[in-house]
Amino acid sequence: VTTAAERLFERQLRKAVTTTGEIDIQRLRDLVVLAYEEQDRARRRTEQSAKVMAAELEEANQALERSVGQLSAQNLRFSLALDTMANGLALLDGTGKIVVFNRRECEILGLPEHAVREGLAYEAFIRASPLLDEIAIRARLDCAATRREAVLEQMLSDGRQLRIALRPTADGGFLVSSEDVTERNVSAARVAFLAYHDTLTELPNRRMFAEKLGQAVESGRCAVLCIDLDGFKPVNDTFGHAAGDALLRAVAKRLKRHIRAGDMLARLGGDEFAIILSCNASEAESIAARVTQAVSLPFNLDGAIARIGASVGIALAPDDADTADGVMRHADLALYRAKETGRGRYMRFDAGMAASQNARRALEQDLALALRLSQFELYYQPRVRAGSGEIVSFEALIRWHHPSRGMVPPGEFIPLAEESGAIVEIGQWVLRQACQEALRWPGNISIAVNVSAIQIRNRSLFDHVLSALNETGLRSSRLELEITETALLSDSKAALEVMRRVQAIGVKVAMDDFGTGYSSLSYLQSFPFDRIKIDRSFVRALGQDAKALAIIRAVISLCNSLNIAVIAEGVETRMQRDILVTERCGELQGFLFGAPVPAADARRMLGRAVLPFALVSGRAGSTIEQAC
Amino acid sequence: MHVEKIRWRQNGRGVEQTSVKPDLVLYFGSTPEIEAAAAPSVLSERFPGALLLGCSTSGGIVGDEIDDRCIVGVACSFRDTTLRLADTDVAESAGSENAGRILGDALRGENLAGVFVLSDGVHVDGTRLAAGIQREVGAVPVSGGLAGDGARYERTLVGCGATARPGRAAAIGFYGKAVRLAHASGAGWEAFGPKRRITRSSGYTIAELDGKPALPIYERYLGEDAAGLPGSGLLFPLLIWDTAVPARTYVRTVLGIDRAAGTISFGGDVPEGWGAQLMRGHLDGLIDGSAGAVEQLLHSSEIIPQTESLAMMVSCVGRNLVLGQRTEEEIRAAGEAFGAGVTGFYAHGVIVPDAETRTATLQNQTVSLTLVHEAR
Repeated sequence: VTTAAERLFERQLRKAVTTTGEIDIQRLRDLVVLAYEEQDRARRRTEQSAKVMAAELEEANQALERSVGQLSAQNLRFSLALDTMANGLALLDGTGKIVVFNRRECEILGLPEHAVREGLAYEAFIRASPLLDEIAIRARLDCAATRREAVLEQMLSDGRQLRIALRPTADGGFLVSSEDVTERNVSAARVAFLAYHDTLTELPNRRMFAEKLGQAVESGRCAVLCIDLDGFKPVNDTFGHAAGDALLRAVAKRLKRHIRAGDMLARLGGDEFAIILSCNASEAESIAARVTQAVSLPFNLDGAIARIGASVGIALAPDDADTADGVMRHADLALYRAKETGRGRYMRFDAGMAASQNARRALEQDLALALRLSQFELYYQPRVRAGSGEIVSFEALIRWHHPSRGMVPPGEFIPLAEESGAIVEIGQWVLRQACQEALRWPGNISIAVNVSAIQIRNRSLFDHVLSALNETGLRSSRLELEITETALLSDSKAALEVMRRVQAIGVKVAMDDFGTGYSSLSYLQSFPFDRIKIDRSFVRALGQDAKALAIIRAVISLCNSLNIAVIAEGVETRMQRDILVTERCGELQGFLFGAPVPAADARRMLGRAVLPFALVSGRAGSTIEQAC
Repeated sequence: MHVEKIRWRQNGRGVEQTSVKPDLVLYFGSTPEIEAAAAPSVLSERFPGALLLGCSTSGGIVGDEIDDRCIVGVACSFRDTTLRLADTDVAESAGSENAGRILGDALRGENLAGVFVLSDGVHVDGTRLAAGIQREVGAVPVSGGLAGDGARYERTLVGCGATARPGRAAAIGFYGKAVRLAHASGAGWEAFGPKRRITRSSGYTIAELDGKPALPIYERYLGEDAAGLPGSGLLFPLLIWDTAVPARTYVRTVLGIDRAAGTISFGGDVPEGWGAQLMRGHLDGLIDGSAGAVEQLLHSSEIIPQTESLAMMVSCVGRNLVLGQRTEEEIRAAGEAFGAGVTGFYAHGVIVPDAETRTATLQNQTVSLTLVHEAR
């Protein structure tokens, strides 16, 4: 047995033997030295590679340490982020054990800190919660077992609602995130409620009403009651909006008492309410009667007593219409009619209403074209000085010559024009036309023009007056505007403003129909009228009703002391004229002196200068017809 | 079967006569010696009728010795085995598979028991050559090696018949029912240092390991030996593996470098994304690797009388580089087992059947043994 070193030397020895059998010492030396060198080289190589390897491993080690450092910083950030998350989170590994969970998860589930730790099985983890019942636990475990993405909604035993999302992870584990959605659900419910309810009364709103009505009409018989409060606006104006709101809430409360379960009471907006009933016509009418009765009883608004009423329109499906829109429209029409015919009552829809509605609509359409087609004409009714009978002014009164309807009375089309807003343009035309005509009269004759509440509210009245005067060149003192009490009532601030402005340029302002409305004496104080016109109803009663005389006397006396001129309208008899002259009423107007006539006739009338029945004597009584 | 050693050199006594007329003469010597000694023509004169196959090397193996000065080899005569020799030119690496198919096609035949191939060691892609032969001969085992010229990779010769020249591949086929072939291989290299990843590569060339240029890594490890690149690259083969199948590893040896590009070319493909680790050889490890191959062979074959076997040993030049004067220790076990029947050479690459698939593969830094004997 020889060693490798011995064998090497023997080989070297063999290689050093010459052909003659001698040992070549030099050759042997070279081989031995070479072997040492080889050995050294091998050692150096080993050392070199070991050195480089150690350096490389050191580098790798440092890189690893850096990674570990970065990882632990990352971990710190990660757990900070985890613990400040709004949602609870638990990460499970492939065997269903908890790998990571955050503080919020423990808070949500009410998990005591000592009861949970990483490495715990998910089942044990959730069973540690005192807030999950068996059903909730099973649902979570079943979801995790299916290994599919899922979302669960669960309610905890303390009433909070959770939304749990389970998501499988790439490594076979599971991510469970929990969100407390209690607040969100409450808000969502509130939003849903608001979308379908009126915030003031908490009654269903128009949207919900429309949906319910659609269903009710589809499923068969139903009745709709459209309710509009009478006199709500004055209460709102007088007592303020807060009181108005309180009143609406009180009305809602009263109305609710008259509907049954399954019926619906809704507030459609403003002072409009509506009820859907599943009943026949007579039941609907009896409920409508109860509703009007209930609303007519006084309301106590924090000590103040308010009295209002309710008008109700009734329509039935399928009797009156077979669509929700139709029933609603018809109930509205019936309501409109109920209001028209005296308020505080209910009205059942009938076909006639629809017909008159249609007629009204046709009239509306014609009216829209009338101005452009020059179908309007101004008539002029004279107004005389009471003592002398001389004409002092004319009141311009509009007439509509309809090509097929003939003469349409102002009482029919003026309300329509007011509703559509066409009154503004018509009023402007009237002003200009009247001013133009007045210019053809002697310089001492004035013209009175009626203005509507809508014109006042439109805020352009002053401009229209100014431009009519400027365009025609009529002296402003010859123009008088007549404003009704209701116009003042609808927007007293605007009315006062426009009055002051027109008066500032010399135009006079009269209060029309005094005594028919609220006739609050405070108007006389608040508004700077130049003239008061006593309503024809008082004049007509003269000689028959002692009270009428008393009122007229009081008004004239009051106006005289306030330095406000007075005119009485509707004077038709000499007796009336005589009384008014006796009572020192300044000016008179009525058929006794002349009916409204076309411009040319008015001019002719002026040619006569003094009208016959203006005279104190009764000698011209037979010429009434002539004068008209 | 009878095997006798032969050994001679240009200025020596010439080739001695053998006791039996040989059927096959295998010979190995350095490129200058083969050319100076006109080995093919000398041998064809000495052994008329014998098939001649040989190649250049940095060290020829005969018995338990390595001889880098003489031409060494064996003369074999067979009792019941016929032989066929084929050769073809391989002008360039791209033609390697085709050359293999030409050789396989020429040797394919009844009772073909095995093929031993020798090829140019500079211009031939050993992987493709082996694949080409295997494709033609089917399940017949194919082994052999790429001719060497030390670690110079400049000019190698393949001898076939009366000529020896570069740009050639030649193979011998063993036919008959009596002939048996057995194969074994061993390495003994040790993987060391950090495990890396091939982050940029193309074909046989690696540009980056772990995102860093590959060449500086090698230079750093080689230290003073870096000047000897690419030859000294043989000291550090590369172990590579598909990260999806980490158990199946491959050894790649450095064949060339591009200092400007910082890239290294290897003796086989080096796919991007694969794992890689440097390897190094220790004297004892490499010697044990070789002895292990002999062990394998002794255990896998029938017991054969030493004198009647031919043991063709092909070992990689890289091993020689590491072992130096102790290279002979590597062949000692084979010499003890197979005596005079051992011959072979230090090659630029080893072709050996894969232990699992049995198809011929090119291995670097490996020692292989192809044992041929005839059953009685």
